[in-house]
Amino acid sequence: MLQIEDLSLSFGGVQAIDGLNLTVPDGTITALIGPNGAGKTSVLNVVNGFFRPQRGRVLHDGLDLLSLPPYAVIQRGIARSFQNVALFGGLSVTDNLIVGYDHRSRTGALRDMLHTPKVIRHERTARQRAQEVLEFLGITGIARRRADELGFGERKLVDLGRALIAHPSLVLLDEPASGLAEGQKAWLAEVLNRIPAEFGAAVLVIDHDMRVVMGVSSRVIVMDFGRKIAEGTPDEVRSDPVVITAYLGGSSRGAADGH
Amino acid sequence: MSRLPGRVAALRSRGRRDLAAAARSALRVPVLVTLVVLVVALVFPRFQGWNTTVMGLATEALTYGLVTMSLNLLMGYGGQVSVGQGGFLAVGAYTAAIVATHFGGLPFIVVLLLAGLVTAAVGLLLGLPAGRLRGHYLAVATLGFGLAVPEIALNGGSLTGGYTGLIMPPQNLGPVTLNNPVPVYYLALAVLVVSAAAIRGVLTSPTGRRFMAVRDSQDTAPAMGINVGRTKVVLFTLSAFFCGLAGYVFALNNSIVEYSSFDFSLSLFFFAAVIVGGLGSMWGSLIGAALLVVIQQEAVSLGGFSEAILGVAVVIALLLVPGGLAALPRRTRAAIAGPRILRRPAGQTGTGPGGLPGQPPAPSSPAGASREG
Repeated sequence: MLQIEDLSLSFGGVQAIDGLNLTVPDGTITALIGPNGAGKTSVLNVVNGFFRPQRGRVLHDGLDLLSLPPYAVIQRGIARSFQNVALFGGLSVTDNLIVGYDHRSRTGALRDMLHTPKVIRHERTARQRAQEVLEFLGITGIARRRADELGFGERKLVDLGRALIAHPSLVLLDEPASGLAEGQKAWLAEVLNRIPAEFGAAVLVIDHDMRVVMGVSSRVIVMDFGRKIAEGTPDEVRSDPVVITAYLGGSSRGAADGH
Repeated sequence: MSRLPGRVAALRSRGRRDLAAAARSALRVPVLVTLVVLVVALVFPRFQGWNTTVMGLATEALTYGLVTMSLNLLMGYGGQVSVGQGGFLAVGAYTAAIVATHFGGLPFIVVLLLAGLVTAAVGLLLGLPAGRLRGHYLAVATLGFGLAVPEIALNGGSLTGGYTGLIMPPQNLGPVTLNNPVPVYYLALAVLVVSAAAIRGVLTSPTGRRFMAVRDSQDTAPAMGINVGRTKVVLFTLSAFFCGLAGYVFALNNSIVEYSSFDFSLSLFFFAAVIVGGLGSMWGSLIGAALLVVIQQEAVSLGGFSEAILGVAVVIALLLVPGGLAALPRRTRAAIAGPRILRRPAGQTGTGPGGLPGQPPAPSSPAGASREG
């Protein structure tokens, strides 16, 4: 379980996150929505160790995350995807996925160079895991393609797969549906829905696409100006007047256009 | 996936992309080609009539090929610019000469490994600060390193022999004394082959993928558990190690190790060889280095113009074959398979898998830089 308590983060005079409390229970999908600039990605960047908050606590399964450097967060079972789909362009799709698994490898450069049995075992397991993830996402056909040759929808799925391959207990997804065509969004929603059952992971997802968000999440948290302005089930949030005002005032997107 | 089969099919690659994939897998240099090249390299001295001048030049091509590979590991796979690789070669060569002079009884393999390890230690020390630098700043830092090493050697007193340098004592390889260009050539070949296999081992392992991940997306790599600073230090250390091994062969082949051998144009030579051969291609590095060795040799007779001719050759090569010689087979195949594959620039998508126009990828910005919610 991820617990965020009284979190505040500012850049100079800009208050990105302001006294945020948030919980993501195990095995559930929680959505974090809000107008552009509400501070949603900043929350992920704090959990991920990229940003250091001025105040507050972030606990995962009771353990403090804020003292960790960014590269150690995945060791605690927290993986993420990125808004701008930062795949490793020169690597194949399979290798992109495997990089998401390589933190399990405990061999150093010397043993890697010599391909000791431990290294070979790691490679074999990683390849198998990559294959499973590709099958789960329905993209086995692109396994050997270079990431920078992929279409945008494929990149989004590979980014998601890279976060899933190590079977984390929590995945942070930053706008997985943005830029996708309608049909791709439907497939994404289906994939997201199956993550808790198939990977045993909780999901904290940011997105602007209300149909995807409302369709997959059991709880929705709404942020604006760094604060939580509403929380509840998708239905509760959809009819909340505070949320509607925030959306209509903050951006042209409608909060109630989901169904 | 039985659900949404139409959707799945749409997400799968089809048509032209499959062709591109086929072309790419066919270009992977098969084991057979490697063996053929190796056999040619093994019988090559016989057909040269054991000509010592040619053998010396061939050994130089092999040595510089290994240096270029080590630089390609750093630049092509790790994404870290270095214009001071000659500095590592100098450290390796001086280490070999110093060790061989003071401990004459040591087996060659010990001297070889010491040359590699001492250079690796220097690479580690350089990597600690250099790992924090990017782009132009890193280039300047490595430039400083490349310029400093020969100066230090010049002022190193009796240890480095100062202006006159050091004579590399002949090494014994079992019953064979390595004082003749032919055995040195075979030793150079052996060191190159083993090093290339080791570098390949690195590149197909977690360590190698970390290098390439840092190269392609340094800002997001930590989310995958990659310690970027540490990865760069390992990269510099490994690159220096292989360059140090080349330094040992360099010392043997030249018989004398002097500071003037390592002037800055040597570092530029390796830089050019990596670019001409193609970043991220081991074969490209070998071919690029060999080509430049030949061009440089031919240009010697033209006196002061040799450096300029090298420069012109590099420019011509890049104009004719963007992406380096390593890109040549891919470009040829792509031209045969259909011109569209070649024209679509990497990083741009043509048509999205859903049939709608694909969106160009967002410019890579530091993950932390965006605070959009």
